Formats: sequence, C-alpha cells, structure tokens
Amino acid sequence: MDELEEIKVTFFQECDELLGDLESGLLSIDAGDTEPELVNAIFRAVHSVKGGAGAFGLEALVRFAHVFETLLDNVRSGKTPLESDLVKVLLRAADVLADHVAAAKLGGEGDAAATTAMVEELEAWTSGGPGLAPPALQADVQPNEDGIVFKPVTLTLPEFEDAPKEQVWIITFQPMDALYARANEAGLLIREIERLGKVEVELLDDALPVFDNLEPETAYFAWKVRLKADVTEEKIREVFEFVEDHCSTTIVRETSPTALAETGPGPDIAAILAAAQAAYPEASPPLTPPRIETVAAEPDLPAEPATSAVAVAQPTSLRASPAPPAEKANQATIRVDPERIDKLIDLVGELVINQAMLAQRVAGHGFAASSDVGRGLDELEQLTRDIQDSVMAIRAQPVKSVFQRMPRLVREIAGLTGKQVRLVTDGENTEVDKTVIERISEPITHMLRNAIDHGLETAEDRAAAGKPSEGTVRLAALHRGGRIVIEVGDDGRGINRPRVRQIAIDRGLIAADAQLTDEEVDNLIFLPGFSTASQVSDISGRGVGMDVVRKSVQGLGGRISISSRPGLGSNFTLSLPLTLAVLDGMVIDVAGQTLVVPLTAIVESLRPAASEVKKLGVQGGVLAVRDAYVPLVDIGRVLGFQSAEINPAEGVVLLVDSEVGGRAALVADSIHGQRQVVIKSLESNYQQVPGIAAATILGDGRVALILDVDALVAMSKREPLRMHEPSIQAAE
Amino acid sequence: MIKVLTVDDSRTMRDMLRLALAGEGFTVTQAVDGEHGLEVLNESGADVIITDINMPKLDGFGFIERVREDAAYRATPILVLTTESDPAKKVRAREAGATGWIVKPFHPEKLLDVIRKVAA
Repeated sequence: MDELEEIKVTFFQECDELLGDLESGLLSIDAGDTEPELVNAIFRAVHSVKGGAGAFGLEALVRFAHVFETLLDNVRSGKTPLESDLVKVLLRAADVLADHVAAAKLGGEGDAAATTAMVEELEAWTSGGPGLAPPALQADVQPNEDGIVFKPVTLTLPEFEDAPKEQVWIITFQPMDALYARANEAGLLIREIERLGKVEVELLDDALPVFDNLEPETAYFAWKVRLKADVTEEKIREVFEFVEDHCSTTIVRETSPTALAETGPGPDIAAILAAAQAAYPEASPPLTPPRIETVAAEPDLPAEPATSAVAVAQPTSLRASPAPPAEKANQATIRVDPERIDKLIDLVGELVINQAMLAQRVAGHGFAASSDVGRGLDELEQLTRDIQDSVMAIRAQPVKSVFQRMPRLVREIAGLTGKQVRLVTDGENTEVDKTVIERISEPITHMLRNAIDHGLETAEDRAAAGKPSEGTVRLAALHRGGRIVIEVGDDGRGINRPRVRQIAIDRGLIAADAQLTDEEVDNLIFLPGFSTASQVSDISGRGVGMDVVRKSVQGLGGRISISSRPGLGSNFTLSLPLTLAVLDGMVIDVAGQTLVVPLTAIVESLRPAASEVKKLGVQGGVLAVRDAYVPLVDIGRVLGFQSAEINPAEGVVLLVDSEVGGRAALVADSIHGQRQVVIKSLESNYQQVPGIAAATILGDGRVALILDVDALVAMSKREPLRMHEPSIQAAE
Repeated sequence: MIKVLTVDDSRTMRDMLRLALAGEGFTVTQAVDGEHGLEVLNESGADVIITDINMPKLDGFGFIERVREDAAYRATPILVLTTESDPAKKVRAREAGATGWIVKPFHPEKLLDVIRKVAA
C-alpha cells in the first residue's frame, strides 16, 4: 500500500474514534454535564475530521464538517447558548457527519438531501437560533475564502524572468525586537527576497549605539534591499507575511530600472546575516561590533552564499545537536500489522503446548519436581505464562469502541418505535481481546434492538403502569471470574411467560404438559424460530430472534442467559472468554476418554463418600455437599460414551457452576490435573457437538475435547427440552 | 539533519507531516498534545517545531508560551498548524511567540517552503 493510502486508512480509523468522542461528548452534555472542556473536545473532534478530510480532498465531508464546526465554534465562544434543543440537533448532525465519513470511506459522498437539510438547520442556529432563516445559504456552503478547499498555490515563477517586465523594487526593512523574539531571522527574510530575483543589500546601522550602550535584546539594524525581478508588490509582501506586525517595511518601485547596477554576486549576504545574528544575540555570547566589521569586510566569500547563510543563521542548538535517530524513541505508540500479532499469538499457543509436552516427557523420565530439571521447567512454565499474558495484552482493547456505536442505534430505534428511551452505559473501559470485540458488536446490537422493540413499553403504557414515560436501557461490561460479562437490561414489561410458553407449545418446541420453571420458560426465547413479536417489525425483523444471538455468542465460547421480572424488566447476561486462544482447564478421564473442563466453571473437586450420594429414580441422583443437595451429572452417559452409570463414590466429582442450570456435580473417573490448553475449534474442523465447546491438543499429542459445562448441565437437566434437542442442533 | 518536532492530536495529521518531511531529509519527532510536546522537547530537542492549536491538555498557544520561556528555545522557529486562517488566531499565536503558520490542508511543497522560510 502506498504510504498516503496507509495514512488514509489511519484517517478513517481516527474518524471512527473522533466520531465516538463527539457522540459521547454530546451525550454527556445532553445528560447535564456542564464541563467546559466537553465543548472543546467535541469542537476538536469535528475540527480534526475536517482537517484530515481536507488533506485527502474529501470536499463534501469538509464542507459539512465546516458548517458543523462553525456552529460549534460559536457554542464554544458562548455566542450560541447550548440549550437542550441545540444538543439534539448537534447529535443528529453528528449522525450526518458519521454518514459522510462512512460514505467517504467507500469513495462516495453523504446523502445530499439529508446534508442540505442539516446544513440549513445548523446555519440557522449559527445565525441566531432555530427560527431564523440562514442568510446567503449557498454562499456559506462553499467556504473557499478561508483556504479550506484544497488548491495549489499560484506562484509567480522566475522562469518568466526573460519577459521584459523586470522592474526594480526598493525594500526597506527594519525589524523590531519582537521579530527576533519569535525566532524570525532578518537574514532568512533577506534570503527569501533573494529568491525572487537579483538583489543588492545595504545594511543600515545608523542606530547602532556605542558598545557600552548596546542592549543585547534590542534590534538596531535595518536593511535596504534593491530587488530586480519581475514580481508584484504582493509577492514581496508575502515574504514578510509572518513578521508584518513586527517590523516596518516599505516597498516602492524605483522609477528608472537602469539605476540598478549590474553587479556580480552582490554584496555579501553572509555579512548581512552575521550582522543579523549580532542584532539578536542568543544563548551564545553576543558578537561585538568590531567582529561584525571583520566579517562584513571579508571580501571573498564562498561561492554559495545561501549555504553559508545556513550555517550562520542556524540557532546554536541546531549546530550543537548531533541529530540522533530519535524518532522511534519519541513515538507514543507504534503501529503493528495485526497479522504479526496473530502470528505471535499462534506461536505462543504452540509454545504452551510444547512446554506441556516437554513437562510430560521429563516427568516420564523420572525427574522429580524438585530436581534441577524440574525447577527449570517450573520457571519455563511461569515464563511461558507471562509471555502469553503479555502477548494477549497487546490485543486487549476497551469495549468502548463497541459501546460508542450504540447511542445512535438506540436513537434510531427509539425514533422508529416512537418510544422514549434513555441508554445508560457502564464499564466501557473494560478490556477484552480484539477478536472478541470485533464479534460482540452484533449480538449487543441485536439485544438492544430487542430490549427496545420488545422489552420497553410505549410511553402511554408506561404511564398507565405508573412508570416514567422514558424507558431505560442499560448496557454494561465487567470482568467476572476470568471472563467478560456484558449485560443488557431494560426496565420494560419483562417476559410474558404464559405467552412464551403458549408459543413454544404451538410451535412444538415443548410438550403441552411440560413442567418448566420460570427460568426455563424465559430461556425458551433462545430456541430457534422462536419470536415473540406478534407482527413482523422492521426493527427486529422476521425470524432473527434470540436464537441467532445465542448462536453467535456460543460461537465465541460464550454463554447467554436471561433473568426477567414481570412488569419490571429483563436482563440479558452475556458471559464471554477474555480471549479466544487459550483456556485454563482441568484434564479428566471419563469412560476412557480424556476431556478438559474449563477451570472457570469449576468450584471444587471432591471424592464423595457413598453415604453422600442419593439415588433419585432410575438414573438421576443428587450429591450431598455440606448442607445442600446438588444434582449429579454423569458426563459419560450424557455424552453417550457409556450406558452404564459410574458410581460417584468410586470416581471423582467436580462441582461446577453453570450459567443456566445453577450448581451441578459432574462425575468423572479420574482427574489428571490442571493444564493450560490452546483452543482449537471443533466447529471449523469438524462440526458442532452438543455438550462440547472445542478441542485441544494435549502435551502427549492426543486430542482432547473441551466440555461446554452449561450445555452439558442443560442436557442432563432439562428433560422436557431434551426430546427437541435435534432442532437446536440443526440450527447451530 | 534538521530535527522537526510535530505536535498534533490528530494521528492523521502527524502522519501527513511525517510523510512530507521524512522524505526530505528531516528527522521527525512527534507529540500528541502540548504537554507531551514539552516532554519530547525536553528529551530530544528540536530545531523546528510545528504545532496544532486545538489540542487537549495543553493547547498550541500554551505550548508555544512554555517553549519560549525556555532560553534554549527562544530562537527555535515555531510554526502553528491550523485550518483556521482566522486573523485573531494568528495574532494570538504570534503573541504567544509563534514564528509563522501553516494553513491546513497543506501542500507538502508549501510546507517545505514555509519551513525554509523560518529555518535554515
């Protein structure tokens, strides 16, 4: 990719961040935050979008951003008061700006009609309020006068020198102290004039006092320059652009051009520069007037006065600095191709497997853990783990980037449904692997749509129920137990359980006489094809229900569950791994198979006494753990490895917490111990298997399956659902 | 080699400056806001400084004032980089001690012209 194209990619990435900042800033203001820095920050966001867009010639984007920025500048300076109506307009303008950026990314321009309407609205506010018509609308949309529109600089080129228009200009130039105080250099200005044509320079040193009266910070010198060139006065004035307030300059045309003598290289620029330097002494000791004379009197200067001028006019710091390659050291961040990081993560995964294999082989050769080799291996394991954590941290990003996109979505759905909605977000700085971030946006979007479309009532219904007319939707992220938990909650009507149950029966998802707990009824909405919307709505769409959400969450190694209270609202909890690459697991044996149980699910492992196991019916049972009974789950039977039941008292029991079914006791034959395993997708290499989350390769090279504890517990527990399990499988 | 410190909160703009300058033999250092600019200046110095005006933490005006307070940088050219050709902004930048300005978006050649105008 060409470097400019790469910068363009950076620009669009930056735009996304800026648009996010813009929106969150506006929302904070909308929520009543009066911090003045907020207005500055939103101004800067629009300003930066405009600045970058200008560099890439994205004119439609620049024009809109300019109108937007002008209004924000008025707000910033207090000319336009920031009232609540205006914030709403600004939020919509932010949406239009986002559309422009999105369109520009694809090489197009934003919607012209929407832009024109928004431009009118913004200009009306800029010129005094929403009711006032914008003056001279068309003229304002094309902001050429301030140099916003990219255009080449017109130069009067010296190639035209031979045209018989050459004239002689007399320029007198007297710097003030302030000119030097801003690091401008008289010598450099004279050099600029020299670029325009042939010059004769005369130093006017009449003001120079005797040495005793010399003030080091005072400018004493003036210059008279005779310039023979075909240039306009304007062109000469441009040289003094930066210093016009800090010097007195006169530019007049000499009446007789022949008056300029045809001289050689002219009087020494270097001498003038030396004088200029003396006029502005820096950190170095000031040059004394006699020395100036010496330099100025030097008759034969090097052939390249410009070059010597460079050396003389440079600040001391420049000459002193060795100019080391300091660029890298000073960059706040470095950019790395994501493929390199992916490669690194893969390699670390292999390292983990390899380290485990090595440990196993070493143990097989009879080395004790306390031996030199054993201790070395321990250190290696610790190091491997540290490397892994560090590598993972490279890809960790706050969920903010996803959360920032949601306010707009909520506004849009609120607009479509006619409901009043307030979005509250929490924990947006929670960090999670980039691969996870990229894939949680869709399920979150869908859950939010559902929450507003199905969860929240209309303002009238809410008022009738004695609730505030504005509904609240809450989006939160937090770390819990080595996973990231995303919660989407609403204060709406909650799940209508009798209706859900009836629909499930009507669609043949459950038996008509199935005995389900409230929790199980709520979870029916995750079954494929289940949709509670009695009419197809534009927002949630037909057939795209919570089953799709659950599927994408499961694809991420995550779980989703719902809790609902009628009349008070629903809360969806999404629990995801922090990374998709590795997992801490417990390796167990069940019916001759080696399996891995994710450590995050395990509460404790124990060897139960026969007296603690209570049989219930033909195959069920519970285990007495301290003062509670926990249902026993025979892994081998549930997964179909064996038909005969293991006696829990002869094996090992793992107490697990599942997101859906509460606590359960998994029965296994034996435990091998804790290992870190690299997750290999079963789905992409084979197909999804109920009760199995993924596969891995163990230290001895064997493939082991990683259990999906939630699914396993659900499979063992939900008798009414089990007969319909194939329909879930088919959908997944 | 002339060392140019670029101070801008926009990554795009920093990259554009680096692209325009690095190919022309300048050594480019970067900072993301005025405060960071002062840090970078402390660490590695600069022969020319190009700074944005609108920045978080410490804006361009404040940054220039602070740079000028340091005797070592009183003669270092400082160019302000801004889309606003608003005369009031230029005046304010000059009051703070700016040597000149560059209007965004800049043509790379124009940028070099301006640097040449204030630096050797």
